[in-house]
Amino acid sequence: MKKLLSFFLIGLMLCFAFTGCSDKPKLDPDNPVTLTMWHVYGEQADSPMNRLIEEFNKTVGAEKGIIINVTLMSNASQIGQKLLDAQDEVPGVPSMPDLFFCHSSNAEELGVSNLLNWNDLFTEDELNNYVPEFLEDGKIGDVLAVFPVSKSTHVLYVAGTQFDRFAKDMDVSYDDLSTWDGFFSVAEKYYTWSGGKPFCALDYPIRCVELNALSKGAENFYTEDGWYDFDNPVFKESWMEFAQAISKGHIVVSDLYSNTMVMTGEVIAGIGSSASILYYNDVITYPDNTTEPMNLQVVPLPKTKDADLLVTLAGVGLCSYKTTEQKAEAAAVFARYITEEARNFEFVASTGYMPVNKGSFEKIKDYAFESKAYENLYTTLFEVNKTATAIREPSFAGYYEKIYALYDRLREMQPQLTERFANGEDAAKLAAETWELFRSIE
Amino acid sequence: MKLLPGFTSKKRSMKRKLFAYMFILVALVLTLLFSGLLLLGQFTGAEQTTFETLDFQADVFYRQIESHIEGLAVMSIQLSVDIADAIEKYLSENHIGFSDINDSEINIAAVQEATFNILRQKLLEAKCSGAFIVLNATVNTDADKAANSHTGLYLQRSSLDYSDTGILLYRGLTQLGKEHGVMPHRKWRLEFNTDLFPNYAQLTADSKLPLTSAYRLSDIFTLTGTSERAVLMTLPIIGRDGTVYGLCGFEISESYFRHTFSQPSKLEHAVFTINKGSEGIINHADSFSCGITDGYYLPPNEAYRSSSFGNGLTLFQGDTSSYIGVTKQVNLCKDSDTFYLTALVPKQDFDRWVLDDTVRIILLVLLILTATIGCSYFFTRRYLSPIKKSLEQLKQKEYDRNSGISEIDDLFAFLAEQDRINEAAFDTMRKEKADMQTSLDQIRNAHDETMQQVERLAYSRKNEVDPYDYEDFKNGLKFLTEREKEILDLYIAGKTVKEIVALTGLKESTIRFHNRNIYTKLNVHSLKQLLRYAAIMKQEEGERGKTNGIS
Repeated sequence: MKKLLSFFLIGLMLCFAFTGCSDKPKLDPDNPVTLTMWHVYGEQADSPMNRLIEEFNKTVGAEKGIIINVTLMSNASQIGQKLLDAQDEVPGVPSMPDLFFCHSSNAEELGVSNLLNWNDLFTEDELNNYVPEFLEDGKIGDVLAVFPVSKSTHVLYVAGTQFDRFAKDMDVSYDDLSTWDGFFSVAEKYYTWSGGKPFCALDYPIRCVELNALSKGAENFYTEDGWYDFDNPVFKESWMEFAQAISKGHIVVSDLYSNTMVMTGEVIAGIGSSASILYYNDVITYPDNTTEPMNLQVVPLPKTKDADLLVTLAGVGLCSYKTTEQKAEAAAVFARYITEEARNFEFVASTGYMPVNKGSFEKIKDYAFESKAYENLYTTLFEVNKTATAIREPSFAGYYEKIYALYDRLREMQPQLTERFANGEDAAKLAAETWELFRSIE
Repeated sequence: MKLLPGFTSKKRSMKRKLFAYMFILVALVLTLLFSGLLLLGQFTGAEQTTFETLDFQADVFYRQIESHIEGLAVMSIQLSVDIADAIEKYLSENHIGFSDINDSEINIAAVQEATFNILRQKLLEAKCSGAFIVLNATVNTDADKAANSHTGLYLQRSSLDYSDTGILLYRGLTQLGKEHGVMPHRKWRLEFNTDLFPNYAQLTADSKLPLTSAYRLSDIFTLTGTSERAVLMTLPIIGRDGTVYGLCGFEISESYFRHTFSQPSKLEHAVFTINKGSEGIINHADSFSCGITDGYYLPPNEAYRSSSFGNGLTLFQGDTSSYIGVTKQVNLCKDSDTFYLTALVPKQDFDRWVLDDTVRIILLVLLILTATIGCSYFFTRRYLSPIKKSLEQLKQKEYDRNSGISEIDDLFAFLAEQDRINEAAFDTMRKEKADMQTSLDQIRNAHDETMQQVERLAYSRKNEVDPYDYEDFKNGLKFLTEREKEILDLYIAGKTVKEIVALTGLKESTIRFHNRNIYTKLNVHSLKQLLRYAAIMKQEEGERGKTNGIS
């Protein structure tokens, strides 16, 4: 009996010893770990990400013991501030999520040391499956803090029905939109043809200015503290081109998203994220409640004449807030799941993004898209991916707050500029005022 | 004790008796434990516990929803009154009738302008995800499907984040929205399509005063252009003359419902549903659901048929999953449809609880049994065995004073002391015996010597003594002086002349003088002859004594 008791005690001690010494808490299907998540996919409309998460929870999540719980849906421009508020525990803001999508700049503001380094959770072989530029875009220093799940670029959306009517009358074509010069010319013609309506709304005008400046040979137009070198002449020249078009009323800085302005017939074109396609209606509705089909066309961003096509590499990535090793393991499982070749393609094909898995890109050509607009978009994206050089968005901490402030000021300013131009003031002078406005942002 | 005579019999060993008493103790403890749990209401089956928990959760869920709907109804009435006032004020100031706003972009824009801030304010004040006004008018009666197109405003909160007061324009004039700092929704449309508005015809037909009983909850529907589902609280906008201008109210989106009504609960996978229609079925298509606070749940995603499960519980059986739940039938609006609120747990969770309960009881019994057996073993080893061992030692008279039991050690000490005392007494007696034996041996030796001497004397008397001389000797004794008799006795006692000198204090010459007189009177020639006659005489006296004694 004494021996039996001794065996029992030894067994019990070994149990405790092994329990205490296990190197990390493993995932357990009977006791699942819940990861809260904020994302930006389909905030105001349909969310393919939510469906993907639901599918994950039912399958791989249930099998491994992981639950992804979406506690907030936002958008790429606002999620950064919300995350900072959550980190500061601002009342009313949901708790800091375990997983979230944001820009590299947001990640830097949150503190890279607070985020998981995905390099530690993926093997080199696994990382080789992803587009290297996209991985590079998520790096802050040597830390891969922002894992690419989908990437977007900026494209030019055109309301086909209206543009065809205008093109026929004014002898213009989509080819004219391939260069910035052609774009400004078409915008001017449309302004005239429509009786003073802007041709295009720009969601991210500063990116157009940057790409145009780069194509013209501008270098180092960023300062060390993450803003612009206003003494850079090429950069200023590029700004002035866009500013004059804005001053003349030919183009506008969008209210927030250019697609709503296209849908209401305020403009017939919009430069925005490829992911905006999710939000385009099938029809344009005019103030008298008449409608006409949208017939949405998607063309690459215009380029600078005689220069190669430069496109922006945009889009948020997946970050994981450092908490426990168990959650880190669960986050890696989820990241692998949503970026798996076939699944990644299915996801991006319904959201207007570019896949991040190398194998997924090849599937674009043969895919049966849900609408003509999506087909147009992916034809353009495929062409852009083949021919254009992708330029990363700036990831300076605090950069986007200044940019959004600039856009707000420009929106306020542009009706007066247009009015003053109509009253005979010089467009170059008005554009110079916008440059001063730009310089005043600190 | 009579119940177990076998165990209480005196002939049973201590071990068996202890086992019997421990067995009785286990039975008693188990009986008391389960009786106590039963009395305190703690010992109930999983079904009963589940029913009580779900019934309580359903009650809490109902009270929260009832309170929420009441609050929203109050806000709806205020909204309806304020909107009606704003419209009538505009119509009055412009001397137009309500029908005049049809086909008039200006009037419609003006009415929207007049009502915009009222609607936005109420949206921010009310607990809801959106607020709307649908007017019985359209901006273009010639437009396609104009009969189903109604002008109005529909504002939505842009986020469930309460710190965010951002608002989106889902329906209405975008220019007006921008002027008020409200951006259009990504799926904006100018007017309402009443074909897509839930129960619009019925709601319009039911539009009558008083407003306090005119509020309704619509069916669940999908917001056009999105995947978001919503339910609307509607109230007619009625003018002073009874003209129905349209409907107004608030939206509760599915996301808002999940966020707001998630219940505090210890049931990790609990699901709470509200549906309008049949009690016998929960259909994902016409129900909203939520989980627990800060938790995740898998929403029911199909139709579930209900059947009684006993104990007040209902089984909701779907094709791929099933739930156990408690349903409450409630009326959230006066004279309106009945709603069913259900608190559910996945059937697999319930099955696990039943299994856990069973395992717990088995483990409890095993634990008590193991503890008792362990105690018995311990008592036997630490208490009974030392006693038995001590008893054995008692038999063997081995008094080990380290038995571990003080009473036994004391007993052993006492017995050892008694043994020591007995041993000492025995030793004394043995010594005395030995001394006595020695004395006896000495006496025997003296006796033997005497006997030998007597025998020798007897022998020598026979052979050497002249009977006449001996007679002279005896006769001569009467003539001895006192001093001579004293000296003679000393000679007979074996003393030498020198010893007699020392004993009597006489001079040796005096002794010699007396010797000559003694020899003469007794007719002897030597001391040896004298002692021989004396021994014969003594022997004769002894034999004479014996003869006298026998006779």
